Parts: sequence; structure tokens; C-alpha cells
Amino acid sequence: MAKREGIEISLAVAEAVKLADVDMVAAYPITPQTHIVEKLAEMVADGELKAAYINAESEHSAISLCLGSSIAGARTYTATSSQGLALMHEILYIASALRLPVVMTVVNRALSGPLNIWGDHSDVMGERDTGWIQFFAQNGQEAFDMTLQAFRVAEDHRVMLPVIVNIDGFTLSHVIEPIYILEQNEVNKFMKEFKPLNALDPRTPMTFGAFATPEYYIEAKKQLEQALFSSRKVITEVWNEFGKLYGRKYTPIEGYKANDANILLLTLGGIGETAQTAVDEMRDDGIKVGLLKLKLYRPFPIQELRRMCKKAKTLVIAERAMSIGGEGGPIGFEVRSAFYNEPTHLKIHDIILGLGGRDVRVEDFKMMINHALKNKPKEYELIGVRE
Amino acid sequence: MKEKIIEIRWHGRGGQGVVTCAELLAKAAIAEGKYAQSAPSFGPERRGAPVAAFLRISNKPIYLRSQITHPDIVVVLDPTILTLPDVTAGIKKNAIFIANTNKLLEDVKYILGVNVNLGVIDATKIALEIIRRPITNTTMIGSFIRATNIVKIESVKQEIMTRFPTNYETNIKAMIRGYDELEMETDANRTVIKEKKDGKKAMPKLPKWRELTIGLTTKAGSAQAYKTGSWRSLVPVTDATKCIKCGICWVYCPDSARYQTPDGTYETNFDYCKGCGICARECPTHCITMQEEKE
Ligand code: SF4
Ligand code: SF4
Repeated sequence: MAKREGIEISLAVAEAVKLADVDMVAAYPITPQTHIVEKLAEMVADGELKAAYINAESEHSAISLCLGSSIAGARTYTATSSQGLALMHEILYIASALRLPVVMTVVNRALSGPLNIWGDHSDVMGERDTGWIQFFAQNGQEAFDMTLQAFRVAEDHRVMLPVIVNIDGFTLSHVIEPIYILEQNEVNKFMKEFKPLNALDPRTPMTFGAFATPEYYIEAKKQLEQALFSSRKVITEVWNEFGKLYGRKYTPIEGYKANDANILLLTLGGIGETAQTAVDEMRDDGIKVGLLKLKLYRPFPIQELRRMCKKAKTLVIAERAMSIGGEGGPIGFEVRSAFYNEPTHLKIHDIILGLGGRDVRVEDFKMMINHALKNKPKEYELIGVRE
Repeated sequence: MKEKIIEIRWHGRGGQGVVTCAELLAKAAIAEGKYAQSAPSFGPERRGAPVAAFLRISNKPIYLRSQITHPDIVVVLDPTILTLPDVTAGIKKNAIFIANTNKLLEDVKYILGVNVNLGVIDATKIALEIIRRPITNTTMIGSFIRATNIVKIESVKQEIMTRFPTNYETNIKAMIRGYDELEMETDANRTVIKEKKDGKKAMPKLPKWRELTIGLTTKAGSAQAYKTGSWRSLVPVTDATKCIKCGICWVYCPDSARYQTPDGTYETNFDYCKGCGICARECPTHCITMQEEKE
């Protein structure tokens, strides 16, 4: 039976990685990812986890090591944050292009400058187009569950893509809360053996990372795009199976009191739970507000989003990243374009908040909703700024 | 020819100065007040590999940045690539075609298989005589000017002097001989051939995206199928009696075309030797000499 434990979310993620029985962890410590990799290093040193642990000299090397080990057929894991993720940037594209099922936890943190170690989503939004599947966890249980799910999705031969599991820096990563930690024998029912498509093996030499001239590059990108789109089917399958085994249901967008709502909020990550409390309180005041929590960011669940917004008149996006010089944030762009050619009168407000670890409170959501109901806000607004 | 853009495609092998041809002529045309544009066909720079360069010349501004697929004029600097489909690909009807070859004009026409307005010149011979290397670019520029009359020989001279401050004299000499010795068909003495069915020889069929392997992973050693031996115009000849079996040629050969024979000396694998001459230059006993490839 799964044990209900009061455990720090970072450590729960490390437990999940151990339960997934990874063969290789390569990482470089960076706040706020450190507790995950420190725990894993300890597990390996204590012989609890039979895996290679490489403390690389940089994140660029860490992710490169991961590519090598994944090509060799090892189940591979890494974790990073902020500047570390930015340093991995160029290699991330190669991981997906080589179709390597590396799993990475990104403990979301603001990018410098100014130097800031606290949470927002600006790090991972820079990796939007890298071809990785991306999950967003809203609590510790999801962080634990999604880590296991990530390996199953990534290593499925119909997918073979790397997966990022996003968890908010500090507001999730360093929080202790009750989490059901599965037993090894329970996890074994879910996990499958990793069989690489083509393992790097001197007995059957292969060419990995071949050069592609203009005659091939677009076709290669099309193949990758299609792989990402078709991963949807496998993600759904894996989530359904996970739900049957352990009773926790996952969907690309989780609706909360969304069915009959006039006005909807859309969130990613941990602020979804705070928004949920705001929705409850506003419902008590008779406001028909609902909430959409985006859990699958790549591939983007555009059909679900359109369907779940059918009845609403207004959609308020609350996101923790900017696109400086653009009219909104990255989620705002994506959501607006999802509706642009649709026969809908949905009003979309894109609110950017909680940058660099600025606290996001119930009142913030209430204010956003009240403003939107009075049709006050601009199309896009950065809120919480001292004027 | 006054108002339209003239499109010229240059073919040769890496290291022969194909791009230089297009550049010098573009600069000369611009100096004359015309509009011109030269561009290499971007790709990995490998000595000996077939390469192309593009040149557009016009009296009006040129608003085009695509490659030249339907050339008005084609110039081929290397005799060994006349059989490649690329040189005639998309060529316009009655385009001017200038070939560096020691073959007869009629024979070249049959090799090409299309009814171009053909000019031939043995530029390799001229270059070897004047420049002492088989670098035919300036010779071919001379032939190009003669056949097309698009830029003035004086303007190109200026560009050559700027570009080759130490050896412009030989290059200008080569250009003038290229100009003088071009043998060009005239309307009166045109050879008309029955065009080959595959005159506009089809390019190889490329795989569709679904046909690519996952992640582009392929069998190792695919470079073995790429026989760079066809790139060769010079061939290394080894005097085994002088070979001291040091293996230096093997180390330096960029295409791994040198191998050790059972008696310990080194020989050339002609499937892959592209004739670059590096082995001959590096061999400490000078037992390798580069000689002209015989048919
Ligand atoms: S054998 Fe000599 S000439 Fe031939 S490719 Fe190698 S180095 Fe060049
Ligand atoms: S470099 Fe010259 S001497 Fe040395 S092995 Fe090659 S051919 Fe022989």
C-alpha cells in the first residue's frame, strides 16, 4: 500500500526517480533544484539506488551526459533550474531530435537579471520550442506521480521523446505536505522495461546525430512535430492506466467548477491551488467563476481548451512569465491564437504576475476576476507593480 | 537582354575558384554601374566536392534571393563533372553553356544531351601552362566574357588586380587566353542533337518525412557509400621503392584513402582518393607525385 507521508516535494520527486529505477543521473546543483539531486546522490552513495550518478561540471555537460547515456540504452534522469536550464538550451533540441527519452525535472525559477533565485516560469518558457513534452505539476502528489508517468510516456516506442516535469521553485519544491509515496511493488506494476530503439553498441555500430542538409531538415522537423502530436494518445493511455492502478485521474487541462462558469481562470503550476480557493470564495459570493489548470503544456491541448471554454464569456490567464516587447506572455499568445479563427466571442485577458517569486495570493485572483467582470483590464497587464 | 536579369550558374569542384568567378564578375558589373549579385551554394566546404555558385546581372535592381534553377548561362570549370545531372538541371532553351574540356564541341554536346548554345575551351591546359596549377577560374572568366559580352574585360582586370595583388599578371594572362581561345558555336555552324529523353536528368528521389528513420539514426559507415574517387582530376602515384613505411600519408589523407600493403608500403584506394595532393605534400621522402588522371 502507498504510504501517506509528510515529505518535502523535492524529496518525493527523488523517491519517484528511485522507484522508477533509473540507471543514470547526471546533474549540476542549482537552487532550488538542489534537494532533488542531493537526495539522489545520497541514495546512490548508500546503495539504495543502483545507478550511476555524475556530478557534472556544468548543466551543459549534465544534459550532454544524459544524451550519451540515453543513447547507450540507460534510463536517464536530470534536474535543473533557471540559468542551468538556459545553459542546457542548445542540447535540449538535440535530445528531442535524437528522440531520446530523458526525463528532467525543472524546478522553475526566474532567470537573471536581476539575479533572483525565486520561482516563476520564465526559465521553462524559453524552452517552449525544443520539442520536449512538458507537464506542469500543481502540488507534491502531482510532482511525484508525473515523474513516474514521464518515464512511461517518454520511453513508449510510439513516442521516444524527452519529458520535462515542471514544479515551481520553493512554493512547491521546498514545501512539506502529505504525499502518497507508492511502494516499489506497486510502481513495478506500472513501469515497463526501457528498450531503446537503437542502442549505442560497438557490436552493431550506428550513426547518431547525422547531419541534415536543406533537403532533409524540414522532413526531420516534421517527423519530430508529428511525434509530439501523436504522443497525446500515449499520454492519455498512460494517465488512464495510472488512474486505474492508483485512483488519481490526470487530464491535459483540469477543470475546477468550470462547466457552468461565465468567467474562467487559467493557471499553470502551483498557483492553481491558490486560484481554486479564490474560486470557492467567489462562488460563495455568487460569481460564476471557474478554473482551468493546464497540466500538459507540450503538446498543447488546443481542442480541450476550446471545448472547456465553450460556455464562458471571459477567460483570464494568470501566468508567471513575460515576453518582453510582445503584447502579453507566452501562454497569452498561445491561448489567444487558439481562439483567433474560432466562432467565439470569448474575451481573453492575459495577466502576468508572480515574477521572481512575488507572492500570488487569493486576493490577486479575486481582483483579476472583478476587474474582468467590469471589463476593465487591458488585453494584457503586468499586475502587482508599484507605480 | 537589356532589361531582364541574366542568371548564370557556375559549376566546379571545391578549391577551383567557382565562387571567385561569380564574385569577380559581380564586382566588375557593379563597378560598371550595373546591378549584380553573387552567391555561393552554401554547404560543407570540402576540397574536390562538386560545388556551384550563382551570379545575377541586371540593369535594374535585383529583388531575388533564391538559388538559380533556370539559368540563362552555365559555366563548368571542371571537365569531370560534365556528366553530372546538376550542370544541365533546369537549363533554359538555347542557354549559353561554356565547358572546360579537351573534347570536341560535338562530343560535349552529346555528353550533355541538350541543345545548348555551346562553347568549349581547354582551360585546364591554359591554366597549367600559365598558372602552373589546374585552377581554371580566371581562364573561364575570359571565355565567359567572350561568349556573353555582359561585362567588359577591363572592369574584370581591375577586380583581378585587387583580388590577386601578387599574381594578377598570370591570372589576367589566363583570362585573355580564355577569351581568345574559346571555341563557340555560331548560328551558322550549330550542332543540333536529338536531346536525350532524360536531358533534364531527374534529381534523385528523396525520402518523404515518414520514410526517415526515427531521430535520423542510420547504420554506421554510410560515408563508405560516398565514393569521393569521382572527384579526382589529379592522381597520386607512389614509388614504393622510396617508401619508408612511415604512414604519414595515411595520417594526413582527409578521406582515409591510403592503406598499407602486405609489404608495409602505402598505396591509394582509388574509390575514395579525391586527388587533393595532401599525401604528396606530406610524404617525407617525396615518393608520391601527383599526375594528371588518365581516362
Ligand atoms: S590519397 Fe592523397 S590525394 Fe588521395 S585523397 Fe588521400 S591525401 Fe588526397
Ligand atoms: S608518407 Fe610517403 S614514405 Fe611515408 S608511408 Fe606514405 S608514401 Fe610511404
